[in-house]
Amino acid sequence: MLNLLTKKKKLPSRDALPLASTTRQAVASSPLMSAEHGAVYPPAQGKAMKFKFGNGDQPLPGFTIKRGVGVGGFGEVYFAVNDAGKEVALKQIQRNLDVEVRGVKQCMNLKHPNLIALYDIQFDHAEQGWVVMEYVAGMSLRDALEAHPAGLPRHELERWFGQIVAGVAYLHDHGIVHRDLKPANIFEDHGIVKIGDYGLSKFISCSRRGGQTESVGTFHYMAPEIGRGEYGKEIDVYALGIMLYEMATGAVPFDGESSQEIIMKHLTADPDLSTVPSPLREVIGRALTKNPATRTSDVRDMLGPLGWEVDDRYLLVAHGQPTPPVVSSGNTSPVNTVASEPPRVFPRPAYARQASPANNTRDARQADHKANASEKVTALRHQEPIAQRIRESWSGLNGWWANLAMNPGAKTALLVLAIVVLALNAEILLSFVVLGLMLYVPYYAVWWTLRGPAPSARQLEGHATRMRQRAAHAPTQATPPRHPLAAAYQQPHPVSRPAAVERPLSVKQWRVARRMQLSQVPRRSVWSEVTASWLGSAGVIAVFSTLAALFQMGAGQAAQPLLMGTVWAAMVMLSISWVAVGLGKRWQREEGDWAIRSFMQLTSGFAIGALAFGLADFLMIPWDSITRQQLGEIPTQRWSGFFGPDGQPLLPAYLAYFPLLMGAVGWWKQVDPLRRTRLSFWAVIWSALAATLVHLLIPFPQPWGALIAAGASLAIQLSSPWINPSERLQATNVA
Amino acid sequence: MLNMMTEPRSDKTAPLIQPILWIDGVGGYLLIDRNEVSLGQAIAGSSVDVGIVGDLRRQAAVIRRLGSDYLLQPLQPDTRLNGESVDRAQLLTGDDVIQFGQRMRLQFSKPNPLSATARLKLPGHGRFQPHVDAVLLLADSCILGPGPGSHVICPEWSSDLLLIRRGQGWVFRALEKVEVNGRSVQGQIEMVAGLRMRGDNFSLSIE
Repeated sequence: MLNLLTKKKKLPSRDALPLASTTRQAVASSPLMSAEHGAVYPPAQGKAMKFKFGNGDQPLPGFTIKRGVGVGGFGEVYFAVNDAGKEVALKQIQRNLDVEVRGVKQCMNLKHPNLIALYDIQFDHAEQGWVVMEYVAGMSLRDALEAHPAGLPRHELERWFGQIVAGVAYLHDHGIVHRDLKPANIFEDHGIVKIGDYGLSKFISCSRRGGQTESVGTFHYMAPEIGRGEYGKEIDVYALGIMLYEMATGAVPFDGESSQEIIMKHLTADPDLSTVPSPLREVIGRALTKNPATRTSDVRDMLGPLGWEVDDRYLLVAHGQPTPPVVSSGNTSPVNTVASEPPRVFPRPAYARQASPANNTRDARQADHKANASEKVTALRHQEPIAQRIRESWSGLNGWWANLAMNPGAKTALLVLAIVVLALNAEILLSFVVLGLMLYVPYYAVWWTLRGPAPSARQLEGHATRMRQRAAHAPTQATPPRHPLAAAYQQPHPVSRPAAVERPLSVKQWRVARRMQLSQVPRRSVWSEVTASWLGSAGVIAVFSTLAALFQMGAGQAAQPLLMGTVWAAMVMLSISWVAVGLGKRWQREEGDWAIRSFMQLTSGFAIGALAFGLADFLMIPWDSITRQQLGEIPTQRWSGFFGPDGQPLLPAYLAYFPLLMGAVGWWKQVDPLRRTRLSFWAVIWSALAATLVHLLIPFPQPWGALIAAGASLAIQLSSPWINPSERLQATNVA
Repeated sequence: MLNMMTEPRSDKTAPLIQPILWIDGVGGYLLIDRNEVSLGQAIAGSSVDVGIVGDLRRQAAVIRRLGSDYLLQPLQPDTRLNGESVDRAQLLTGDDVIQFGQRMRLQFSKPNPLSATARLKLPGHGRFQPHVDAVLLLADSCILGPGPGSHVICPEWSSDLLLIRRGQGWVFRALEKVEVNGRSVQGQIEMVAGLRMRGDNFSLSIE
């Protein structure tokens, strides 16, 4: 229902009129699947509802459409009647047909009074899929919340929430995580609460209508770990916690002007529970814990403190507690007494404080801070001195480069010049690097075994830094643990919104927030980015190869063999960067497991190796005339059958070298939009180094091996989209 | 019984088939322009104007329009109006709850003081047959729009759409250019079965 989209802006005036709220509520009844997703922004005029079908149409044989109900992220929803008179909702499946159909099929035979029943999937003449499901004529929880801007009355809250939990408990016990619980997905039919969209949301969790890549509203109910690609039951618990908060106060705990701001609050801000009455406060606190491991693990546990439970038949029943039963209205109800209870002046019992992790996190963090501050000092002292010196000088160089007052064109020219100089002297530099590495690696191994840092030291260090940042930027938050008395008398917030995020995010938090957004980018957009990156990398490689070939020829090298070598190297670079971009874009949705990724890249290396061999064979690369023999003098393992008599690599050498090269470099990190800088010279150098290391094992003709790795790294980074991490500082200013 | 001399339309000639206004994204509305409307349980072969699937008599009540006033004539013994038991014709104020038996409640309202058109809704149990969200008792005009005084509140609409009695029938008066059955039209559009109207941010049909 579109009326919901502009709720925040329009409602107050409308609700000010006594008649309005009732009529509106009534007229607005009957959405099955609302179009909105709890969005904050009103839609642009005219962007409202567009339905392909109207009254009397029969897109599916046997079903006559009465009217359009809503346009959601999953497609258009219609109210229809079949030939026998059965009223149904027809939901047109618009995108990702196969996954959606699979998702619906998985849920097709679930039966629970609090779930919207799925009847069938049918296909029309154009092979368009339709989900036939129960038509629910009542309002959505979103409507109910709008009718009560200060929060639902307690009995209403328990009626909605209890039944939602019953339905979600049933889903969880059947192995389904809803993933998209929100007020707009929850409906009411003659007092029975119905959860919708459970079969579809597994695959798409946000609206993509109108080509939008993200929907603001969806983020209000999104658990922080979704950014890490974790989709356990806990995300439903979190969403229920947010909804319970919204039902209790009328506002979501984490709100903001942009989706990013909301996500950041999910990651960092504590919900303001001061306006929430007691049993709810603890339930919400436990459900909104940032760490899914410490969150309420079973949705049923959210009901116990409210005096309800879900029995073995998944029905909502009153708990054996003094809290009164069933839906009773009026202020005489003891439930309401609890709800309207004034803040207690006497100290709360200890268990209540313990039971509220969200309230206590601040104190806990402080303790952490003290403990970690000392840890950090030792951790720093333990860092390996040579590496630290190199890192320092490198960051100095980076800083100099970043602050260099030159126009971009001149900078680029300088960069190209430096690369050319490096390429011309590649063999000397490489031999230095290899020599250095051969000395440093054993040294580091010895150092590490003797006095290396404890494995967790780095983590602690990061944590301590973050704590320090928070302490520095939010001095007001670093108050001593509040006395219960003080807590009881604390000034309530004028609006039931949480305090804005006042501390800048750490890079890690920013990454998680951004990752969460990346995970919501539809595959189609990712695909168009991939193709753009492919084109871009081709361009970069073409430019640099041409330059390198020109300079090499200018330096007096024989033209023909070199040209062949350059063409070959460019093609191989291109294949590496295409594979790396393809895989890396696929993996950008989550942080992921490096071992699996390296292995997948390693596997793809066989194809690249085979291609490289085929190309070299086709171009008849004269290896002996373009190989620098000096590097071959480094004592290396000789493998039989890997190299021909003139030192030209044979197929096994390709099939051994390229997989190792692909496996040795974390190419996806260079594709990742969340990498630290757009172009990291460390990454380029590391890629070349990795190639050199592999070269020690398989003496592939140099400098080609290292050049290919460095060139591919350059092309990948230059062509992959990048999100500037400095935006995290701006984002907090908005708040 | 009083006769509706003031009304331009006689009950005898009224068509028995009542049009339903389906507004996409908003709801379905049964349109009745007679002065006398009978209410009762929806069963096969029922002759009532407004059929309700619920626990009430086959002939539960009659609502009569007199000028801009409405009278409730209860036909079921245990009928209550705003909580009071009633057994004879009562004047409806424009914001009333009619209760039949223990549970069946019907809400009667006149949203706009300038129009005699009234609206019937079922706030609790039961449903209309056919399944619509409300029944509109059309008098002379009916407002569809975003404002609180509209008979049908369409919160997302940018402007009102008026439904006005014209001769024996009804016409829509659109303030904006709309598309009717595929053609761009402005001004008055006759309300006929099968009509499909589409504006900038709305669409509706007449069944």
